[in-house]
Amino acid sequence: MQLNPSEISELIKSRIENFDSSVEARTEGTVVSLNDGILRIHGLADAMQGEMIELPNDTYAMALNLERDSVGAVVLGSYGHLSEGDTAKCTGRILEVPIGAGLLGRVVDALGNPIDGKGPIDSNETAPIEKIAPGVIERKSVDQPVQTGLKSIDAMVPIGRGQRELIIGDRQTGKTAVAIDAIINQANTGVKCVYVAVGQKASTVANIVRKLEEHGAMEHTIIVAASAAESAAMQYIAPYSGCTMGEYFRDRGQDALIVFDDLTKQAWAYRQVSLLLRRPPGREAYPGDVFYLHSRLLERASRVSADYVEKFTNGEVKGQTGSLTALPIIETQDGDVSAFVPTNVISITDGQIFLESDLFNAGIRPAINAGLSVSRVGGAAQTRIIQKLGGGVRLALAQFRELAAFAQFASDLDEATRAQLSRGERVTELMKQAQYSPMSIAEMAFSLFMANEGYMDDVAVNKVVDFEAAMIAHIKSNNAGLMAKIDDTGDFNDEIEADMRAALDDFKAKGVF
Amino acid sequence: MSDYTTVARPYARAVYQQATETSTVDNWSEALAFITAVASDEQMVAVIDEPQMGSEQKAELILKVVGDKLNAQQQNLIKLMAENGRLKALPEVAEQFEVYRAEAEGKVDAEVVSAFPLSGEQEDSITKTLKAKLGREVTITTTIDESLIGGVVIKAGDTIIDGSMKSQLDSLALTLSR
Repeated sequence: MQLNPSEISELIKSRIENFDSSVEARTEGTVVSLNDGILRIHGLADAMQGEMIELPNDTYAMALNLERDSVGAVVLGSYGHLSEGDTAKCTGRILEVPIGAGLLGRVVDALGNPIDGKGPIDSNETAPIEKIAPGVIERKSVDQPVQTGLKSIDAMVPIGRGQRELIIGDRQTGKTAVAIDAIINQANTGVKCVYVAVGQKASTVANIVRKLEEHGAMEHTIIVAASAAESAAMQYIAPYSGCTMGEYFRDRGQDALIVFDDLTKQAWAYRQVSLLLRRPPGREAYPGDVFYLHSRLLERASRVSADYVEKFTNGEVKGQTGSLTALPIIETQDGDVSAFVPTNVISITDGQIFLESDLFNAGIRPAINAGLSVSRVGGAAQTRIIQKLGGGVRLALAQFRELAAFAQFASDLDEATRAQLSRGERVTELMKQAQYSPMSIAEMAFSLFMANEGYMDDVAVNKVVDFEAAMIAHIKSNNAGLMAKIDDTGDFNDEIEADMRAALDDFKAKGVF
Repeated sequence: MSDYTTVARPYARAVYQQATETSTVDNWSEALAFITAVASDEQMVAVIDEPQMGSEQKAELILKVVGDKLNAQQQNLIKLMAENGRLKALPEVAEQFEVYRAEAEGKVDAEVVSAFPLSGEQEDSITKTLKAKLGREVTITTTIDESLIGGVVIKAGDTIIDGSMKSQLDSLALTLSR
């Protein structure tokens, strides 16, 4: 017979000693109906909205509809063993999940129970999954960057710490890949990551975990998974659970990044729960509060002031701001961004990264549509050198798009137009980046500088990717000091510009590519 | 049964108001208990559920059974509920009537379940404590359930105070299995 690690006598002894056997008055009710995971409970006169209701066999339900004579609740987890007539008890607690640094490196379900087989979670703190976002006074404006390591994003749609940047696109356009790359790039930045998988295949989640482990990104990441097989209620609450785990770091003066993959499926799960609870359906059969569903979640992603952190930690952490950056993901159907949920989330977030299947199929990966992607607050947070150099790339791409349409018909183009077209083609090519290979600030700066200053104008379009790789390898081996300096300071001045120019001239002169 | 709570509420309230206005609360209470007993009879339930019978026929049949034990108002209640097709809610009306009554009189019924028979002293002490906690006059009824092993479970309305050995062992088992 196999013994459990939790069955050591010492452990059992201490748990028996610490067992809280106090008697409390509790309200009880009776389950009168159970269908599709929705319970109707008679009694429970003083149940709270969102309260955990205890059912037989260590099962819990969440009270969602409080009516005059009954409570509508949704079972969290499986409900095969429940039946009509079971007793349901109030617990007096809003749904809570474990929080803390002990969750890092773990895979948990929507209730914070470990599902990675690595034993119990090392955490003795819990927090409610639904919390009110910090108020106006407690916030601070976004002015530090989150480096995603993807040059097209960091140069054109920069993300700041505490920002909400939507990743939107059809299926198979690399939405998850962008988010995972961003997580991998946080390995040395101290930013803690939470990846919330909603309604995805368990195999996809397992793949992501493996990829993160391979790239050493699991140590700073929590994965909250409510896979497609889990009940709609679990899929509905998973983003809130993940957000609470991320807020732990924000409130203690650290920086965190949370990815919601994806909110479309969460809205579907919520629609299912709402319809089963017989709430009136609205547009696309979503309930009336589907906007609030996402707005209250994304409002919790914020940058908070040092005062807030100090007050929250009772003075333990002083002079440090905290942030929770959110990267919600929305999957569109056939590029339709004007559907209900996409428009809602676009309006809530501080910008969007728009991924297109046409670009993806044309080999431009990440398939970012530079024209439709925007970042409304990230500009203030961008690293100075990327800000200076990225402007040129954005402009070159914008002009290229405008001219490309005309150029298809015109046979005879003037010199300036042709130069713009060829620059645009090369910049488009340069924005390609392989998955799982994030770039440092200095690498990015050199790539952008090279494009702006015309170092690639004489390179064939299909050679741009190789040219860039050779350039970076060359600079890394010959100008490591300069790269370290750029990475450290992020500054851009005449001196650095001259150094970069010299390094690139040297590379071109040697012609090693 | 609880499906009828909402339906029964207006009837129960109306009956209670009528009863207090005419000071016939006790009489009504007895009558409702009697009607409930009749309406819960198996054969009577079949009659109430019978779809082919008209509401008047049903009322007549019930009245024939309960007959002269009821006064005119009480007979009217049955007729009215038959007319509205709510005869099934009768037991619930009686139950809620008692709730209104207990509330007005500041009383509450508590059920005390224990593993062993309670001494008079213990009962007094429970009654006193409950009175202080609930702020109402408490009437307790005691039952014995040996499966509790020890301790008592007190039920007053929706509120349960579970101080039994059984529930503590159950929750200890749950803590250890986690």
